[in-house]
Amino acid sequence: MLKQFYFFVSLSVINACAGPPEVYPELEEAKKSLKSTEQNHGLQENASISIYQANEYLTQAELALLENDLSTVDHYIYLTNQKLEIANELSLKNENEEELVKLKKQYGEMVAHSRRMDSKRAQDEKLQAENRIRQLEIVLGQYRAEETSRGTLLVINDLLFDTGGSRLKPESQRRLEPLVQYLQTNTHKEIIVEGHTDSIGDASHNKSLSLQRANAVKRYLTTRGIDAARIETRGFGEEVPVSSNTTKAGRKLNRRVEVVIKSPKHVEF
Amino acid sequence: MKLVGNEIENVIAKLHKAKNATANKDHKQAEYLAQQILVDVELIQLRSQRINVENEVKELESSITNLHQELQWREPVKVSPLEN
Repeated sequence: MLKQFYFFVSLSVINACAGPPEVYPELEEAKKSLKSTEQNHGLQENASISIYQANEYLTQAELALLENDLSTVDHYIYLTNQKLEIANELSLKNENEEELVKLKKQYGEMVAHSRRMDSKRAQDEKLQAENRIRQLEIVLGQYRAEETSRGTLLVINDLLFDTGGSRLKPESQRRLEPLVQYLQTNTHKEIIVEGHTDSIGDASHNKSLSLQRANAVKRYLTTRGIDAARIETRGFGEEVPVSSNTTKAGRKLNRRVEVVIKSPKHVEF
Repeated sequence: MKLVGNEIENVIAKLHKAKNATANKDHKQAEYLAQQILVDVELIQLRSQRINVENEVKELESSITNLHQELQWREPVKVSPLEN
């Protein structure tokens, strides 16, 4: 009986010495990671299967520890940690995919908005071009006009000034009204006002007079709010006749003011 | 795929170890290594996918920023009123 007792005590001592360690840090760490992951609701939603598998592996590790099979414990701890890592990756991937869906939607809306802006811009530009054409037509309809390399040339024959002087008569001011409207609307347009006379009288006087009359037109335009910087004046006197100066009708045609509406590419030398 | 390069190398090393374990008839070790390889590969695949999606998000964010700036810089067209 005593022999049996000693045998039992010896076995207990041996078992106690070879028993599982009370604390296995890697296992405790894995438990903490699992707990933390389980508490993260976002992860649970996205990666519940991986978390479940991690839980199973942790149980296997605990069982192996009871059997003191430390290599198996390490193996299952490794699998547990990898599954938790997989759960984290899945969660991140799902978050990014959700973000990607939102961004694609946002980008699509921006592209659509951009296209609408392009379309609106094209429509506006077309409308603006049509307006320009209509406005020009209004002006051109009032004057004799021709396209030149310098721009659109408007010939105004029936402008009346004081005899031998350069003061515009009131009826001539009305004659300039379409040009005023055009310049008020097209604020970027610049013009050249050119004065011409017939050959009656002294040539140098005629040249001076033609410049004074061009300047008179400029002054009138500025009184109507047109910026003087947009208006250039020149006087040609009798140098550029468009008809014969030997007849009354021809001289009437030669006494004129021409307005050049500068084309955008017009360059003065 | 540089970001998962080391992990792939680890898996290859484990594969060699598993082959050796099989040759040495260490079936337990071979089985454990096989299980680990499967989990490692699953993680590598997911990590690669996550990185790809992340890159796609970054590219799209950049495109949105550029487009936003482009839209801001566009000046609205001013239409001249038509004179009657």
